[in-house]
Amino acid sequence: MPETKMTSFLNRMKLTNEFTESLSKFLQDHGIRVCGFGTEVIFRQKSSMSALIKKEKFKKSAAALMVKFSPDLVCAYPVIKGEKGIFFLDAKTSITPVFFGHHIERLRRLAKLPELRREDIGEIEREAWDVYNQFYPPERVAIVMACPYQPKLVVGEWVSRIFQFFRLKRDRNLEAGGSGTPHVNIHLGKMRSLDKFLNEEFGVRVNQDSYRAMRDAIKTWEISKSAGTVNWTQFNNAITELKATCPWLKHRWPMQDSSSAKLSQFTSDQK
Amino acid sequence: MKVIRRKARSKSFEDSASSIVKTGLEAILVDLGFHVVDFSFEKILADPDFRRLILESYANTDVGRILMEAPDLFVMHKKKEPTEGVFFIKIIALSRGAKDKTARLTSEATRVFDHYYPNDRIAVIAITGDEMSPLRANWLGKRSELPLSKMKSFEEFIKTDLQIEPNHEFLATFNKELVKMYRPEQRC
Repeated sequence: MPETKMTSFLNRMKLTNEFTESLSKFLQDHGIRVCGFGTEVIFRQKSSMSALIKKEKFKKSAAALMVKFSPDLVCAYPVIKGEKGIFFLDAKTSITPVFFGHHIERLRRLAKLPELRREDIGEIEREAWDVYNQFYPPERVAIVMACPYQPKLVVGEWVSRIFQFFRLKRDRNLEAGGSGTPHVNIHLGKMRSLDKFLNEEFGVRVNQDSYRAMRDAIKTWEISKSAGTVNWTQFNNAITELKATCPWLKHRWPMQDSSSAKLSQFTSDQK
Repeated sequence: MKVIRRKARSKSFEDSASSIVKTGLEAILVDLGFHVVDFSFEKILADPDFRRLILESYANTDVGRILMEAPDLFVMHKKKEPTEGVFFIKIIALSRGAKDKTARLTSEATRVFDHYYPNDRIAVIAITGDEMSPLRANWLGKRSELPLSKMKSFEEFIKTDLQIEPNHEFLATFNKELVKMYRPEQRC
């Protein structure tokens, strides 16, 4: 069955890399110095190690996890000296909401959050979350997440202040309709918008034109449909619900865009 | 003040020894099937201007210390169990003719390793200059200093703690060079 373009892992990785790049530029335009960190820098001349550390078996090693999930960037705002002027930052993107209503109900029940909404549910890889909390100072690690199904579109918060309301204990997740990677759920609605975060933490007044441009770009990102686990009706029902607060989201159907879909359409026309 | 000292001091004997041993260790570990990457401050933050900014304005912050006190090497063995075959290495060079036979971490490094690293996966390798055992090694754990008498020879560490048969010839050559480095009068 044809899926949305973003179902592919490589496309998602490319999207995150592009967001990290545009976020770095945005921060630098606002006087925040940015330096690359994380595995791309550490392993820049060791592609064999970069591939090795991604293997499942190395999840058993705390040292390997610490390196694998080291944050993407180190940032400093030279106007502020000392602890409050320097931090780690990990840029993330989320384009897959929780699709299954029964899973949202379950999260509401487990987290005792009856008001929890689909657009407030964010997901972070469980091992990455543990690394930010154990091997870095969580009050100096910022997560900036871009998310087209969250009304704020781009949110930023210290790990220590992010509200984690669910943690998967098993090593595979088969219920949320996502990739299956073990995760924690975080409350996106309780995170600050990026402009508010930068203003409250560093006194930076964000240029609203460039902030709008960033948000507009995120609005165009296609919501991902998990291959094989979510059908098109479930996908579009979730979009209908999300459109109440995120009107830029679009319904999609299997025949759209995909060249294989066009081919099957062509084949059926010929018949 | 420490920052100024770090910036101002010229490369000491201990710095040079650590740097030489780092290169030698990399070759020895690669020969034993490890993948090795330089994990020091200069390598994990590639931008020299940004490093300077940290040294000048953020050396006394948690983030600054985590970066500045990073271990020397990070190693992974492709075939060994990840819990055994993945670790960091911190090299400590004793000064020439040191009376105090103890490998000591700075208080900053101790704090960083204790708070932010899996310190049972940090191997301390001490360069002693001692003819019988110029390299000694042990896991750091929750310590800030390791008496050399309680550390294993590097050869023994490889055998017992890494469970790998060392390349004796390679190590003997390396050890000879280390002893020469500590006793320059023996140079031809």
